[in-house]
Amino acid sequence: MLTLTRSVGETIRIGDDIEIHVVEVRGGTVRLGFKAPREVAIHREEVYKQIAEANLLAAQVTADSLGALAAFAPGAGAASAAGPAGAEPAGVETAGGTAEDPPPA
Amino acid sequence: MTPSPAATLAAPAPATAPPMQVLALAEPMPGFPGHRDFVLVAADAAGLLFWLQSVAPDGPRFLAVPAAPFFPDYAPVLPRAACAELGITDGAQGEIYCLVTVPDGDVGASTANLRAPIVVNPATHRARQIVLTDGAHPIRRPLRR
Repeated sequence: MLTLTRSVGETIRIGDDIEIHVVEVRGGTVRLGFKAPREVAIHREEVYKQIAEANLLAAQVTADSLGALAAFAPGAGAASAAGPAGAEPAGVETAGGTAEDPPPA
Repeated sequence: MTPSPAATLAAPAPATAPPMQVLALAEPMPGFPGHRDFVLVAADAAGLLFWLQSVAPDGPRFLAVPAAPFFPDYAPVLPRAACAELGITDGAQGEIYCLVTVPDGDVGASTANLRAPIVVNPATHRARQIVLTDGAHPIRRPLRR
């Protein structure tokens, strides 16, 4: 791994179009600023790992689950309730809208 | 000007989504580098379950649910850069899907990933898994109500 020493206000450039700015260093914490093409996703490593792990698990879902999962599907309020599945959710609780987070007005 | 009766649709019917949509990911999904080309195929008659299937022979396949009917209170703030890249000005124009996990085949414990939704521009068929900066959206939200 390449190791470089930089001070606050200095920059590292990767390739032609990625810049990493050292914004602030305080104690054991460093704040970095990034300039990169918008197709380049920038993640905190631990978040990226969590998502990658979740994706790997999600890729293991088999078609066996479909029938039971359909029962979790909302009534959808659609007029197309005449589906052949006939799997109505047992208790539909969508009447009053039980939003955990009230949307900002 | 001869009006063609077949060309005039009264209203787009949201329930009759096309059975299959080809999607090009702007960037591979975390954990699956190298897979950008997917199809979104309806997995049930009601249009509430979809397979997000790589076109590669041995590529991954995910079960995806549209966010709106399953999580009506879910209104993620999408990063502007990601929206611009997909060609949508806000989340309203994009279709949002969440990937489903069924731990150990236990359907009752199924969860959906609200932290990293798949956002699709249905007009251009471009899509991306967007990792939200807002940690309030859970990676494992129970699907069971």
